[in-house]
Amino acid sequence: MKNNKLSIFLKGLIAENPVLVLVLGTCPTLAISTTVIGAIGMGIAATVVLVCSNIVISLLRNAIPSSVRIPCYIVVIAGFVSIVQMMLQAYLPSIYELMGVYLALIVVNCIILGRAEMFASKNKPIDSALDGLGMGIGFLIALLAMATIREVLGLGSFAGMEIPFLSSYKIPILAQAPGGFLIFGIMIAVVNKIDPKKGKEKRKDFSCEGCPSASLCGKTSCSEMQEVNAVSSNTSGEEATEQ
Amino acid sequence: MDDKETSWKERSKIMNEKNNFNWHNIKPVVVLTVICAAVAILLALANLITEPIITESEGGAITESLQQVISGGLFNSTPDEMKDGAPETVKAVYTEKNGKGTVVVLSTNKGYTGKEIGITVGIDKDGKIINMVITKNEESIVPEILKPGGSYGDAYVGKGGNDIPELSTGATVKYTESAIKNALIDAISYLGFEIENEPEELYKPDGELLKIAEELIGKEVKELTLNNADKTLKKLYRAKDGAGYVAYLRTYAAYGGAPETETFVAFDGDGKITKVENLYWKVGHTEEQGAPNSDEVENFFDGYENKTESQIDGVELVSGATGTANNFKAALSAACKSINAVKADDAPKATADNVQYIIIAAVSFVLLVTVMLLSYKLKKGGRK
Repeated sequence: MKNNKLSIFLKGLIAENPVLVLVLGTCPTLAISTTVIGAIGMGIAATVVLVCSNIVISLLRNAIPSSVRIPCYIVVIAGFVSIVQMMLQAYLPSIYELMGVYLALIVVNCIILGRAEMFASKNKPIDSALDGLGMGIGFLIALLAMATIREVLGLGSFAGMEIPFLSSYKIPILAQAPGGFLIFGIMIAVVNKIDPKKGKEKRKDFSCEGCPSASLCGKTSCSEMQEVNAVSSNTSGEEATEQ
Repeated sequence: MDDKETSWKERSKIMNEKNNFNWHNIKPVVVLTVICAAVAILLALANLITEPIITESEGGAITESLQQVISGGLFNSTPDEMKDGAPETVKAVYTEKNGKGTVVVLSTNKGYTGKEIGITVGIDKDGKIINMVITKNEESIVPEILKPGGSYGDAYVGKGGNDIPELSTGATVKYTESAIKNALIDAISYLGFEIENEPEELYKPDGELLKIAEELIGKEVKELTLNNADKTLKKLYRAKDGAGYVAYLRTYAAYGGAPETETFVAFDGDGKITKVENLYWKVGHTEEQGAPNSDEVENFFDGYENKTESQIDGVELVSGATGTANNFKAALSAACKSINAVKADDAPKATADNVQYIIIAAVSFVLLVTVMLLSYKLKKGGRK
């Protein structure tokens, strides 16, 4: 039980890191990761929204009809993002100014809506909270790593503090969009290299083994679909034989 | 018979359930409404808590910038009432209670990337800048000097009117610097101060300048926005039919900066000078001291009519005021260059606009066809 909860939390950090493995939330990652302070602010804001929205959506999972689940999720997520915005503007105005429009864009961050749909809507509140926390911290770690590289090498500073011996050897392009993509690509390549399961050519498999949601759906819908596919393939085989 | 009747009754029941106003049908609407209401209440509570803090901190930031530009000044907590017709860059005005001056809070988005630049400037009772600070700069390219708290404002201290310098700390931020300068000019003119070192006869409102331009060229004109133009080119108009331009030029003495000439020059659509009308001419010495008479001055300006840009240099200078004449010649050449730049911008831009629309239309068509094909394929797959 405890191991299961721990694994839910830990998978979001590295094994299923939302930015480097699942490749979600790329837009704010590239936009905010020019400075360490901005990256930390975005990571914490996204984590808070993730955890809160996952808990609420999990609590309401049995009450929300399937036909309106997405609008309900978005309303909940948008509400929490607005609250976080107001809190930052009141208590941390400098961070609020730094994050600019990307704070409001957390609403449409794929990580948050994705986890709401894939996990929170199918699991209990505590598990959902742990998943949100793990994913949020994983997002923060990825942002921090990118921001450190880009700010140190691109601007010659770290968290706004100038690094004397690097200020003359800055690579300005790393602080701009092309450099962001470059660093992002290199980091994904490094993760693929480290993780033996990633980066290898995937065998196209339409069974449960090839489905990323297999562990969540309990394989019930997939097994039903397999039976349908088996029947249809048998039928087409018989027709071919007759012809 | 019983089976058929039962089947018919079951079918009827299903149809009735679908059509009836029952809980199954309205549940999604109710749930969504309840969630929206709950989130709205939460947001209202959060606003209740944070709004006083936000208002106080924003007010504190403004108070801080007021003190930065007029140190030790005493101001009302609320800004003065704005006059009608205030420039759009002027956001708030605070009059210092002890007569030290007035603080104008400005905001412009005419910089390089079009993002907001916030400026607070203190102006004394003579229309001179006491101090200027940049309070916000959301542009993507911001040199240290142009960041909030940077030392950019130091160069403006003591300046006023047409004395405001147009600095250039780098090619990429020249638009930003022009935006800041124009905002400061707006502030000074809003407070009613005249441009210094210029005689009253040179003050002409925009409407009067437009009228003179239209009379000169004989058709309706529209003022163009000047970017990177020489400082002697005050206004540039283009005929509404596109076949002609009018340049409003003002030249100044190299030493002392006193105004020398005020001239309107009309060009045809090809950039050839058609008419020159000089409204003001002043040199530093009298006719007895060798200055040209009015006929000589008139002949000098008439000599530019029917000339192209390449022929301007060949026009004779007026004897006794070669410096002034040279300044005008340089201003005229610069005006020709600006007109050429405008003409060059027009042609490719129109093409680029058309190509852009074509690309958008083509991409939209391709997407629409793709979506239709996909949905057809999915539907077909579903039927199987």
